[in-house]
Amino acid sequence: MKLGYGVTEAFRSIRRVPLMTTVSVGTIGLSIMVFGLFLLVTYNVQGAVQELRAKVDVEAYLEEGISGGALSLLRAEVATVPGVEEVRYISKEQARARFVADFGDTLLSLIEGNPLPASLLIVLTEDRRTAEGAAAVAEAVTSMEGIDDVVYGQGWVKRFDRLVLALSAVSILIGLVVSLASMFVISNTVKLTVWARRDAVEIMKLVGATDAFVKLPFFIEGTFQGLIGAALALVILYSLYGYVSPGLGGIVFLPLSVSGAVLAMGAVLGGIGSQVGIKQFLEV
Amino acid sequence: MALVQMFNVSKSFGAVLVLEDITFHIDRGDFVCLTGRTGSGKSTLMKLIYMEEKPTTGQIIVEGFHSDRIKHRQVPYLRRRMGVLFQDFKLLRERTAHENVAFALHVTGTHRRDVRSKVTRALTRVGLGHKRNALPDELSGGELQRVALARALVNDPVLLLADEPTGNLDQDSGRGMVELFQQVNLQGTAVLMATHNVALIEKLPARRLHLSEGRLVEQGVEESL
Repeated sequence: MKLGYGVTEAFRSIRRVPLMTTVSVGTIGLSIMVFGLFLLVTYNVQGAVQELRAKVDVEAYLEEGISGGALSLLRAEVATVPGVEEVRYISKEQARARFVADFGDTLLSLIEGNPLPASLLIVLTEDRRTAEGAAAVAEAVTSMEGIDDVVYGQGWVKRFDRLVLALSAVSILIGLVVSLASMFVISNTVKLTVWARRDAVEIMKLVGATDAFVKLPFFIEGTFQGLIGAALALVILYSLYGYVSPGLGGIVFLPLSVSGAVLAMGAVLGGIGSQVGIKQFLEV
Repeated sequence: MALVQMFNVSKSFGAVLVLEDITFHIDRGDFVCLTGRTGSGKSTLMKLIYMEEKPTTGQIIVEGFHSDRIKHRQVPYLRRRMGVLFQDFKLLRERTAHENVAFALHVTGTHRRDVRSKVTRALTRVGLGHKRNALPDELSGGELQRVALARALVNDPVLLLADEPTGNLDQDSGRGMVELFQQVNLQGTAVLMATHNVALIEKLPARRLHLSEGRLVEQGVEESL
């Protein structure tokens, strides 16, 4: 009964001031679209970083002429280092084949014999695929008997970590700013709506409507506007994605759960904004 | 027990003292006229009774609600016990007479099933049963105030507060309004009517209170009728 009344009044108000509703939905949609765009970029960059992270590994070059027994011992020893998932042996021949595959055989044909050393390719557990993780494993392995040198992609791993951190921070910041801005916009729009209906609010208070009853239609209106605004933002974002994705191979759209969360965010912001907007009119 | 009791009530806004040391009461079934020129504090006195304002000093008890102790969330329940009328009617322009009266029932949570019969009864009581579907723009000033009266009465109040209810009406409509108040009063609702039009209430058998420079003077019951 109460909810039915709230819904009736909310839609009555939307019909009465369609322009205000359009402006409000449009502004909410625009702010959420900016947020969604950053979410989309962050989501895709993070996906790419995950893929690159899988390639963060450590390679330990072995001293020349290491014996079979010493090698087995060394492999077992490396495998016990925390953060090591797998240890793969790459023989001199395999190293040569890998080099030829990457750079061709012109260079090697000029040199007699095989100058490439055998090595242990150390695959890291997922949580250690960062600059610090790789450095720690490299340090533990470098002093072991039979190891000549240890390399890992120090430079680019560090740069990637910084990029991911920066992007996450920017996304959170934009999310916060957009949330506050949307709430501000919605609460101000509701203030205008309440102003347009201040006579009704005044009468409601005079005949003994409780605050909750006065707020209800505005809450429904705000939530509805937020929901529609967010849906609009997602539709525009998806069209935009469809337009640019053929040119940017491999990018993906926000998964259903994240899209749902964006919708929910619009609704919640709309609802909260409306309650902030009406507060000052309830003091009669 | 008295319906409204005021004890040494003063009210000031900033440095301006509007009401000073007011003590009076209204009993159930009373008809009280409050006179005084414009700006003498009649509206403020009304607002103190429906607790839109709180007294600066002194105390008010209305239907058991105490001005010192009432909580913000209790005020709506006090207001449901009374009906309020204003000079400017305060009707919603885009709603019909029926919808305007029904509004007071909807927002106080009356069941939809009961609304229609209650509204019809209230409109019939003020003689507007036949204009239930008229919009405010299609009604005269007297009719508008009667719709407002129907809305004030629809919740069966124990007290009707009328703040300059005839201020925007011609002489005849004004008299018609006062007659309606008398009928309402005869059916048991106490009435407090504020007006600066002394001629209108000259022959009314009612208690007289007069506000002058913030002070209240009881003038006794008019006994000419």
